[in-house]
Amino acid sequence: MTGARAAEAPPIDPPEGIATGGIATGGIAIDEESLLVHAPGATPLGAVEAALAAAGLTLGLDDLDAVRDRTVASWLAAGAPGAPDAWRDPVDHLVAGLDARLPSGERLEVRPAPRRAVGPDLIALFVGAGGRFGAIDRAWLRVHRDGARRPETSPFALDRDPPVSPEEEALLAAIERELAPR
Amino acid sequence: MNDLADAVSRALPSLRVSVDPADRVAYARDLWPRHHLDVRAGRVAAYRPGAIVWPASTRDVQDLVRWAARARTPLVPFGAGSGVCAGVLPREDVIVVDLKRMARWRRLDAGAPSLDVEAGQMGLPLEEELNRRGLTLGHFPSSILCSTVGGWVAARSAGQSSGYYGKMEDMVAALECVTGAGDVVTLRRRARGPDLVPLVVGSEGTLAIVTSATLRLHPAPTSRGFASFTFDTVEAGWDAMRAMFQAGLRPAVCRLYDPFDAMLARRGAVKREDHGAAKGGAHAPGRGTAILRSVLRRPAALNELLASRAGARAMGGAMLVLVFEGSGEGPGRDVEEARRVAEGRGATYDGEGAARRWLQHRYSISYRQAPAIADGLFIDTMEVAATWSRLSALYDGVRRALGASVFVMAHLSHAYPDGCCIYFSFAGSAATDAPPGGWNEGCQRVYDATWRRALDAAVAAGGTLAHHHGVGRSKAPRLDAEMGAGIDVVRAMKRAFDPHGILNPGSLIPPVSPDPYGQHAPVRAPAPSGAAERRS
Repeated sequence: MTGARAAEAPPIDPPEGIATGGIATGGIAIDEESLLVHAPGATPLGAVEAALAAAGLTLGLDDLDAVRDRTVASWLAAGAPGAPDAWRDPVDHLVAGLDARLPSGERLEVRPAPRRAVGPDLIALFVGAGGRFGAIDRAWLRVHRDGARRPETSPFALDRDPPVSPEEEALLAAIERELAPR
Repeated sequence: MNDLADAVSRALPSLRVSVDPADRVAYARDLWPRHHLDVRAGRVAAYRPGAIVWPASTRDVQDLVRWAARARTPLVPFGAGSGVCAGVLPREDVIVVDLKRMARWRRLDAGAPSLDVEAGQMGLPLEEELNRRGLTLGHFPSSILCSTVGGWVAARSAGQSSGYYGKMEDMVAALECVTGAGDVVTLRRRARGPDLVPLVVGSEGTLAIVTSATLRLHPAPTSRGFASFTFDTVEAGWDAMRAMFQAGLRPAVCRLYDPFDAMLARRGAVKREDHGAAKGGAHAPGRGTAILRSVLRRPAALNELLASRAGARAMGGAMLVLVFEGSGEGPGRDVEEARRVAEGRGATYDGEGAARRWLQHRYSISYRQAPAIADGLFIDTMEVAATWSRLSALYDGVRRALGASVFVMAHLSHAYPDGCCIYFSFAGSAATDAPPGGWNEGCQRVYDATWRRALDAAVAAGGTLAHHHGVGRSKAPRLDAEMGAGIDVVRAMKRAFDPHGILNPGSLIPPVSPDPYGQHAPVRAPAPSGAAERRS
């Protein structure tokens, strides 16, 4: 796990020309039936957690204190350090949807859904991508009831953060070029 | 040989190539139900590929893709052909790339546990061999007898035990693939990113040809817990499913049948073994078929009746089937907790029998579609998903949209803490006894209009267009309704991965022409005498 290590890294700024605006504390919407929170990208995680606590909910991060002051957008762009290991409970996921601004200025909406099969998962272009392909305006995040059981499937021993190969980097660069304003 | 096969054979002499007429017919389609209407009408080979090739290694695939990129020849990757969204719809200038010769296990890491397996590995042999080693992938699509690892990855497949093991995107740790530029790339999942794996999973062969996948494995279960329940309404049933998943329960199998579907399941009708057409025997539509066609021409009233509380009660209510997996006493304890949740919502506990029977017959349904098609009807399924707060709108909206023109029933079989998939099954026929253009044309018009209305309703309700069948060509024209600007992002990725646009063109990404039903309407072939428009 690299959550603590990654959490020490400074927040990743969005690319020039893609502003995330100032720190916001309002605009947080909770879907209690679906256990999702719709939070502005500029909101600090601590503020999201406080809003959730009032409803008996939590983001359920392994280490909230390490990332409390980071905004939702910068935290997701850094790969959500402190979030539970995605392999622990494969039925659950962290991000159900998001709104983002592309380098062209165009707005992208990935509507919230538990799972989908409508082509590539565009959320992967924004979570852990360092803002390379755009900036997150808002995100739909999974939340948990305080004290609720957090299931775990069998252990899975995998290098969670292998190095990015030159071939992968070439593809990332190609996507970046294709998404750049023309 | 034809010109295309000559060219690829000259360039790649070691590659197995076929232009055999039977092969070209066999690879002319997947299991898109609309194809069945064409076949019934005698148009069995409207989309024959120019050639079929069988690469045996990643190097073969790379050489082929590089040649195809130079020659600007479209390639359609092919697993076992069980897709249902027209992901395979070739033309004379297309080469179909069947990957089933690439079925080797490259590395089994029993300690992780994980398996790097080639894309052409078929589903059931994979699971059986893993079971012999005390392991499981946990992926049990109803197509497991006729689907491959590569197909699962391409379509973002879901299995019947998704409630514990997740969907295919939750199982892939790494992918080896050949991009449209002919580069071999290994993509690895990363906890903190960047992560290209989710971009290729579900890309339906349009970005790269997947040649192998490293899959997360689990110890095979050593104990199971079973339960089934009856609810007055399907809504009460899914409220219990939501409560279970949000309470941290993870039933591997969690299937809620609406009252009509439940009635069929209770009677064992869907498991019947005595249907002549299902056995391959001759099947002549009879009086029952004629009555059924008559009913299906005016399905709205029947759908309304069955959806009412009175109808639900008359059919015995909705049925929830649960199977927990694990070891020791764990599954039994989970059953008890699930029972408390269900009974707290008014359910009646029905014991273990229905769940045990379901597990025993879990693959029995996939091959039972021929009789209805042979009877002159059409049938299809539509799997959509939404968050729990939008599920009611999705269920009502799509059911209403479908129910106006076809008979519809539903079950919910893939649940998550934040939402659920609804799987609609429907059957219909032409709108009148003697539709213009003939019976099959009439069926196709109703079929196309039904799908358009239902997809629009899914998007309007805040749902997805697909949960695990994918998009193919059948849903591509409606993709922008869900994705909006996301379509442009997918197109940008297409240019990045496949700069020459040779990989499965026309699938997934909306074509310039607005409607594939019209765009791909085949040239009418002469129908075999007496077969094409047979009605009774």
